[in-house]
Order: sequence, then structure tokens, then C-alpha cells
Amino acid sequence: MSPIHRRSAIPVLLIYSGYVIVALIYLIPILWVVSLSFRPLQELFAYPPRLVPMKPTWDAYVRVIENSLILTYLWNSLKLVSLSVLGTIVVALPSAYALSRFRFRSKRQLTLIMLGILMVQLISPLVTILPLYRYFATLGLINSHIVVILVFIAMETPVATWMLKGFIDTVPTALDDAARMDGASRLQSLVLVLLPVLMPGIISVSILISVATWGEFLVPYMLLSDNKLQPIGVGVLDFQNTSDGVTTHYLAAISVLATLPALIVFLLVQRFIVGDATSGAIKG
Amino acid sequence: MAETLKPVRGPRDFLGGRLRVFSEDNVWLWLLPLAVLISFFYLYPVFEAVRFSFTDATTSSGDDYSYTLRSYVQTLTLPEFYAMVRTTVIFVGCSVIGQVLFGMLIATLVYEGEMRNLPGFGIVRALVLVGWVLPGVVLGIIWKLLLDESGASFMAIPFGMFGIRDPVFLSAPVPALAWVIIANIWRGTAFAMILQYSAMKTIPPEYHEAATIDGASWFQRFRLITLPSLRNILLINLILATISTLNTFDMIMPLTGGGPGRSTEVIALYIYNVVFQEFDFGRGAAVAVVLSLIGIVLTLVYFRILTNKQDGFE
Amino acid sequence: MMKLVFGAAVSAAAVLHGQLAFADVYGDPNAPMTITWVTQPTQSPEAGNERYASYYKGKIEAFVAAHPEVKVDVTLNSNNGNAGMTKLLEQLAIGQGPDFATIDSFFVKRFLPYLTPMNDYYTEEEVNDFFPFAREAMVVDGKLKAFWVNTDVRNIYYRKDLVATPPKTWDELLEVAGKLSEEGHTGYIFPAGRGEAAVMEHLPMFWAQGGELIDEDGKPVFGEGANRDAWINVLTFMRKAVESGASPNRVANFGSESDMQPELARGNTAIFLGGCWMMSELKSLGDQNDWGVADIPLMTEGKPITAVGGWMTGVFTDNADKLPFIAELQKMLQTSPEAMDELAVVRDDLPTRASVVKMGSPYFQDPLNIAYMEMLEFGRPRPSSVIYPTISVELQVAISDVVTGAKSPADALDAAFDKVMAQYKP
Repeated sequence: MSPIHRRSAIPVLLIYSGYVIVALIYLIPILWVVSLSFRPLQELFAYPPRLVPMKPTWDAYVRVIENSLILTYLWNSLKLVSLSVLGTIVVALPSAYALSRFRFRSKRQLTLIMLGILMVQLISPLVTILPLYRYFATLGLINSHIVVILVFIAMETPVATWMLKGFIDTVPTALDDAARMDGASRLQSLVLVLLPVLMPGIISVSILISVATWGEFLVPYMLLSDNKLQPIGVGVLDFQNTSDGVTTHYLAAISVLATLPALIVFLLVQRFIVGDATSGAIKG
Repeated sequence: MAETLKPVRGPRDFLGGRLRVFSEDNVWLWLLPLAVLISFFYLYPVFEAVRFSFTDATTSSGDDYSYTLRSYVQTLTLPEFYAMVRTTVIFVGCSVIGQVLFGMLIATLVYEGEMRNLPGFGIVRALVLVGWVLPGVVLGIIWKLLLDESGASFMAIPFGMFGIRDPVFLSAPVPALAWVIIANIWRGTAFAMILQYSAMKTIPPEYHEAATIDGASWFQRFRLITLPSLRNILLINLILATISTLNTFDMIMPLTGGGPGRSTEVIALYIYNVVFQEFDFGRGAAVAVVLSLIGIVLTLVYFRILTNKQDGFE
Repeated sequence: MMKLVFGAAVSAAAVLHGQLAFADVYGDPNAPMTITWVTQPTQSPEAGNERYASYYKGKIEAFVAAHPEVKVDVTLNSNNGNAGMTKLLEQLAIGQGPDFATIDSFFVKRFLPYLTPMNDYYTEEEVNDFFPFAREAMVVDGKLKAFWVNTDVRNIYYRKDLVATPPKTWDELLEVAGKLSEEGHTGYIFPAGRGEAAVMEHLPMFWAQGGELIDEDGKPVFGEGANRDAWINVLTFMRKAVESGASPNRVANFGSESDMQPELARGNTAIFLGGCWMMSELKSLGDQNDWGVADIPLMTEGKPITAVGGWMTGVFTDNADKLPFIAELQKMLQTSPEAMDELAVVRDDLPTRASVVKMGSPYFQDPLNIAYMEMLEFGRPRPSSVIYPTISVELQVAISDVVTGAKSPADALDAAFDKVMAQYKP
């Protein structure tokens, strides 16, 4: 593909050593969780510690799937996350476009607006959640997924806008100017010309939003009173150790189950990034 | 050679130019959805939270509270508050720098590997992401088990090999903070990596090709092509990582609970404790306002440092 | 191809989702009266533990069978106690609370304004059947506001093969544990980290010296006079345990009782301070040792004392039509001696009514359980004052500061007391 094929051994060696080190750093805790999830109670805290349990068992998974609402939680999470991502991109993209492509009264004004948007992100949900709850309760909107999705969108759009603007900035204006010269409206130039080029950026923003909302605990917990509507971030906590028994292995099993969908989706999405980036959109 | 500009047809033409406000050239129209969303779902609750910071409300007091500056006074006159600020600054500073640097490192590794079609880059990318997908509370629990000092944990193995039977990970103030930072870097590196990796991908490969043909080494390419393009993303990265780390409490909670003593109690965790364990909403809101102010100051500092040059933000 | 896989996954999930819809409304869906119950997952028909789940499910189903005009709607609160109680309070504050709920005994004072008195449904005899500490929390100004339905005690456990007679005083404990540590065991472990256990397990040591956390008006006094000395003694003892080698440094990591399980499972511990439910947990982890239970060692030999916790149930609705039904449901589920007896066997819950012991159930064949029951006689609950959570947090900080040597006992305690007084509103 590129002349970088012509390579000496050293960079490749370095790269691979880097891979190994990084992989180890990330694999160890992950493998530990997986290991915990397959252990019978007796081996849970075995000493000396071993990675592979002596008598691995599916017990934790069976219990978790049969006796809890985990599949419901996962489904709820999927629903909340996908709709939130969609909604966020729909709101953030035009805003990011405007902030990138329009000339503002002064650079300062733009900076102020950008900062203002970001400041919104600063107040921790810890404190806004109680007023939010009361606010929606008086409107009778508690216990609906729609409200949670809207709150998620509101929480994530500032970040998404910021990042998307950054990505749009890296695309030369020549591109959409050319389109508009050819008679396209702004909207058309955004959707038909910029969007394809921005795909890697949009995908990363989507991943960001997904991760942020997937494990979210406080917001759905307070806004949804029905347990069956809760996402996995809330469901996981129900398995923390209580005075009713050790639940570490259940927690581990749930963590694995909770991460698996995200992993699968990412593998699906990975191709998209690779395919698109190599198409080299910026041509003269 | 220049083509004549054809008039763009839109509502503006339709309505004879009078309803300019609905023209697609009106920037405020583009920003409207964002503004509406933020106002309804964010500004109002934030306003309420700030209002509550001036009261002595508790989470069960309903409508029964009064206005007072007590919450602020209590917070700012406590000697531990400043120790907590210091802990938070160390935590955030080290975490953010660590995350951004590692993120850059891994992004580069993955990108370079991808460019050379080295198999395995996708796996590394995926692995790093898994660390990020796990909910914070779960990570806290996992790291706590990993750092179990009684020997049943993975981390104890290398220490055991050196004959140290009772390693100290979380039971002393300094190591505890160090490990909390490490766990946080582990968690947040993925975010930095994704951002920077995507930015690297938007650099036209031709630039790299041309540079290589000209005989540039990897390092030169990095310094002269990659790094400048990353500038904007780095700024965003720093700011976002800072904000998100400032608000992190979910991982620290199960890991150390803020201890030993208060040595790992960052401000966000303190807010959680105050609101959800001591049920004091007024004080929690007051501290949250202070935390946000700190965040604003930090963000402004980043801005100053990183955008006083030409291509900053416009 | 990818689309196919994705599509298949989505359909599978949808099907499974339909299959696994759990009923959380029991009874005839068209029944005119609905009773809403919010409870902890482990005390509900959807508990992870099958035996618990079938107990609660069975009782509710029996109830709706007997009363076809009522349906029962069960909602689960979170296992995360504090967040759960906060959420419940929020709901009550805006008038959207359930009809009745399971509340942490610790927080009952905050719920008082919302609780409906149930005096009409219980005889005086029944109320007196509850242990004194329970009654005190249940009856406020003559009104029966809530029911303490299960409880637990704190004590020490000792390895019978390593410890001949359990120590009764701190000095004895340090001596025995110190010697065992020298021989390579882990002599004595106790919770000393950031968590409620660190405070609650040591309250008996403090109370035994006559110490009081708050006075009758609810004002914190633990940092004054004799109370202050009492805490300094306790803190000094904890520091000595670590300094002398009787206890390892890592006790500073143990914020909750479950934090101690990995250490205990390692099999090296000789004596530990904890809660009565820990033994069955330890056994389930495969521990084969022979353990004995004993009262918490005090500064000097004297009357034993322990701290009790547990859950309560309270009614929030004032709908007069519903109350008799709720009363009956509560008795079936949790508040009657029969229910407590069954729960003792099923969930290992310590009952809060004296008459249960005489019912001869299998639960009391286990000598350990009898021992716990006896401890209830001198059990004391934490003060349910509004300022207690703050006191607890500050004491936790003090304890972990002392145990790690960051502060002296006196400094740590004074700092804690100052913090609490700054927060206190009369």
C-alpha cells in the first residue's frame, strides 16, 4: 500500500515489543476478572493465587443469567446507548459544523461559546441529579426511557460538539466550499461531503458516548423507579457484596457479560474505520 | 475558470428574503438544538444545584430549608479541605498527563502498525478499549482484588517472588494514592488513545508517504507531521480528561473509600459521601460549585497555554 | 455477513427478553387494590439466592390467593444501601413513595415524618415481644412507627485449635495474638478502613467504658470529657495491635466485613472481629477450621456488650383501606414470630422477637446461633440520630489515620470531633 512497507527491522521490533507490553498491562486485570468468574466459591480467594482455577465452573454465569435480570439490563443498556448516540450525533453535528465553518464576530466570541459549552460538562451529575429528579417528577415523566435518553444526550452533546468541531476543523474548507460552489446547500455539503470524510471522527465520538452512557449508574438509577427498566450500570451494583454471601464471582461474571456486547459491537465497527480511512477522501 | 455562483435555493428565497432568521446561513439556527437541550436538561438543574448550595437543605428535607452561607463557610474553613484539594490536584494532574501520554504512545503504536499492515494492531486496540468499557465501580472492585495485600491477589505474585510477604499497596497513604492514579490511568488511556488515533487517521497518508520518500525517519515524521495535526485534539483531550477525572469517584469508592484516612478522598468522592452518606445536600452542592470553579480555572489555563498561537481555535 | 450476525443477535435478544420477563406484580392483574412494596433484592422474591426468593414469593402468592381483590407490586431497591435509602427518601419527599418498604434500621429516624403508625394492628403483648433495643427504635412517642425484622451482632471468632480460651480484655488479646503472630500466623484482624464496619465493630468497646456518642438531645458529645478518653483508649488499642505485630498493617484496607474475606480465606488468621453472618460466608468459601465465638474483648473485664444492626419495615401510605391488608402481609412476610422463625432458617437472619427462640426451630440447633441470640440481650443499636452518619464518617477517617500512624489517637479524635461539631445543627 504505502512505501512504508520498505522497513527496517528495528521499528517493527519496537512496535511489537510495545504491543506485547501494552497487551500484558491490559490483559492481566481482564484475565483476572474472567478467571474470577469461572471459579467455584472455594477457590475464590485461593492462596497462592493462580490464574487458572483448578476446578473451573460455569456456576456463576448460570446463576447470574437464571436468577437475575441481567439480560433485561443488557437489553435496556443497548437501547439507551444506541438511541443516545444517535440523538447526540444528530444534535452535535450541526452545532459542530456551525462552530467550525461560520465566521464569528470575533475569535473571542467563538472561544467564549466553546468554553461555555464545555463548562456545562463541569458540574458533576452527582449534584444535578436531585433537582433533575424533582423536575421530572413534577412533570410526571419519571420511569421512562425517553427521559433518560434525553438526559444522556444533554450530558454528552457538549463533549460531542467539541470533539466533532475539532475533527471538522482538520478538514480543509476547500472541500465543502467546492461543494457549495457546485450549488449544494450547507446542509447538503455537511451530509454528503463532510460526513463521509468525518466518519472516523464520528465513530470515535460515538464510541466515547457509548462508553460514557453504558456504565452510567446515577442518572438511570434515580430517574427510573422500575427495576426492569434499569441498564447494566445499575444492575451490576446489585451484585456487590452484601451480608448475604460472597458475590465476587457473580460480579465478575456480570462484568464479563456486560463487556461482551461492547466488545462485539466494537469488532463490528472496527472494519468500518479501517475501510473508510484508507479511501483517502481528500483529493484535489 | 471560476464558476459563476448559482443562487442557493432555500427558504430565504421562498419568503422573499424577509425571514432571514431561518436562513441556513444563520449560525444561531444551527446551534438551536444544542441550546435548547442544554437549557432544559442541564442549565435548570445546575441553577437549582447552585441555589441549593446557598441553603442548608438535606436530601430528605423536601421543601423545608432556609438560605444560608453556612455550607460554603463550613467547606472553606475546614483544614482538610485544602488537603483534599491538594490530593485532587495530584490525582488529576498525574492521571491526565499519564493518560494523554500513554494514549499517544499506544495510538502511535497502533497507527504505525496499521500503516505497515502488521497483524495484531486491532487486538491491541480492542484490549485497551475493554479497560474503558467496564463501569467504574466494577473496575474499583477488580483493582481492589488485584491489590489485595494478603497474598491472594495477582499483584502480590511478583512481590512474593522477591520474598516480600506483606506488600503495601493500599494500606498506607502514599502508595494508596499512587495505585489509585495508576488504576485511573489504566482506565482513561483508552479515551486518549481513541481521540489521538482518530486524529492521526485524518492525516492524509500521502504526507507520510512523501516524507518517507524524502528519507524522513519515523521520529521526524512524528515530530513534524503527526504532532502538529494532533494539536487541537490534544487540547480537547487534556480538557476532557481533566473534567472527567475531576468528576471521578465511582472507581475510587470501592477501591479505597477515600482512605486510608482521607489520603485518596478526592473532592468528587467527598461530594458523593456528603450527599449520599451524610444526606447533606446544601453542603454537597456548595462543594460541587467549588469543584466546578476549579475546573473552569484549569480549563482556562489550558486554553491560555495552548492556544495563544495562530492556528488555535477559530 | 456482519449484518446477518448482528440481526440474529438482536432477534435472539428480543426473544430471550420476552421469555425472561419477571412478574413483579403478584395476584390478579385486574384486582382493584394495589399494594406497592419496595424492598432490598436479597429480601425479595427476586433474590439471587433461590431459597430466599422462594420464601418471599411463596408468602406473597399465599397472600394474594387469600385476598383476590388485592394485587401486590414489588419493586427492588438497590443493594447499595445509602443510595437506595436516598432514593426512597426522595420519592417520599415528592409524595411518590411506596405503600410500605424495607428500610435500613440505621436510617429510620429520617423516615419518621413519613411513617404511618400501626398501633391498631398489634397488641401490646406483641410489641413487648420485640427486644428492648428494637422496641426503642420502633415506638416513637407511643406510636408504633416501624418494625425491626432482622438483626445481627458483632463478636470475635477464634480458632479453637490455636486459642485455648478466648481473650476477654485487650491485654489478653494482644498477648495471645502477638504470640501467634510470632509463630507465623496472622494473630488478630479487625476492620480499620474507610467503612461502617470499622466504627460499628468498635462501638461496643467504646460503650463499655461508659462512652456516649450523643446526648439525649442528639448533640454529639463523643469528643468531650470521659467520652473522649474512651475513644482515645480504643484508638490507642488499635494502634498497639498493629505496632506490636499482633495485627498486620493491612487492616487499614478493611472497610467492610466482606473486605476481610479474602484474608480469612487464606487460612492463616487466628482471631478476628466481625459480624455474626461472616462465619457461614467463610464456610461457604471452603474454610475447614474449627471456630469458636466469643464476646468482644473490652478494656477491662466487665459486662459484655455488642452492637446490633439489621433491617426494618415501615408503612408509608395512610390509605385506611389498605392498612389492614398491609398489616397482614407484613406479618406473613416478616413481623410475626412464625415468619421470623422461617426466615432464620432460610436466610440465617437473627430474629428480633424473644418468643422465636422457644419455637424449637432447626436454626437454634446450631450452638453458634444460640450464642448470637444470647448476645442480643446486651445488644445496642447505633444511635439513629440524624448526625450519626457524619460521626461515623469522621470516626472512620480517625481510625484509619491512627492505624496507619498518620495521626496520634488524640489528634485524630479531636479532628473528628471538630468536623462533626462544625456540621451539627441543633
